[in-house]
Amino acid sequence: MRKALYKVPNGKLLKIFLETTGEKISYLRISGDFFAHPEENIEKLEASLINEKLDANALTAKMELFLKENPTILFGVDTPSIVSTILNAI
Amino acid sequence: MNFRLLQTGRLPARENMAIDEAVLNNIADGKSPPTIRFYGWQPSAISIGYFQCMEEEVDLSACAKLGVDYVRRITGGGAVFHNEELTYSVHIPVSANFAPNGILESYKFICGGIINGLKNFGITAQFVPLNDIIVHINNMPKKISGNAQTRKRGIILQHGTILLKVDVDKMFSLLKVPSEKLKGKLIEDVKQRVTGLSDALNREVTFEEAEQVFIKGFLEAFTGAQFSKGVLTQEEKSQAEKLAAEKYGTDEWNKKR
Repeated sequence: MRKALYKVPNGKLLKIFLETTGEKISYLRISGDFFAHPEENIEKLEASLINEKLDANALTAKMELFLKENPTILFGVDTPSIVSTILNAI
Repeated sequence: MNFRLLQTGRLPARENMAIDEAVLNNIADGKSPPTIRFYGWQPSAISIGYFQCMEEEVDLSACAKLGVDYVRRITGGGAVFHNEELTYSVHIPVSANFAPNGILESYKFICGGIINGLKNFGITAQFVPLNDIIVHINNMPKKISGNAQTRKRGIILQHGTILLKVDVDKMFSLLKVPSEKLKGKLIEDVKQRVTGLSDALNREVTFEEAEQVFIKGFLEAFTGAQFSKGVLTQEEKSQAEKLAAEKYGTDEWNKKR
């Protein structure tokens, strides 16, 4: 299991737990002391990123699409911080 | 708006979290009124935010050794050591339009009860977005309250802590830190940045005294509200017992992330 920590400026502490197969995500936990409404969408987001390529543009696009289809209010983290911390966990 | 006022005293962690969820469900089902609850924790407990990983945040063997409970909340936010504190929860239907709809605005509105309570103790406090309340002691800002909110089934649930006394050394014997090397510095830092009501006033403030003062504080903040002392309904009690046994007391929930 790989792990990366990132203190989001003016935000919360983000912790990413990641496993990969080849260049793809095989396990992902987006953890930390942030807030998300509704909370369950973070689990759906994690599931939607399984098998995604470890590429900033691809992950950003996938996450933006997910948040458009599943409106989620995030406090303390955002798409760029989650994507960059996933990539830092590699 | 009429609120039911619950004073449930000090309870184990699983029961406290189960009651908050059972009350939310019963309000959503139209069976219970909007509710404000004050409570404490016996034994002391660590609660973690919904998104946190229990084994990453909490030293479970230290909890077992010291007899400290642990539980995952349904709200986000960080790990909290519930020791000497007054805890509150507020349940308001969104449809009542009593609290602002915006999340930040509703935090600020509900935290107004804590700020008023602190004012009644002679302490000037300030809401710091998103979820903290700070006081100034010797010109140093110190956190005295942390809060967390969720919205489920059309109900705003906000719960939070009002610290009475802070035992930072015990807290860090229970919480894991990212770097053992920096632990000493972190403890000193938290000692500088966090305070309790008894420390801020330089006198002992009991749970019971704080409870009375903060009931008044929330009543003042919730303009147009009445609080009527009440108890949990039979249905809430049985739901809470079930939730405590089958959710908040299980590894399946507490270690689910």
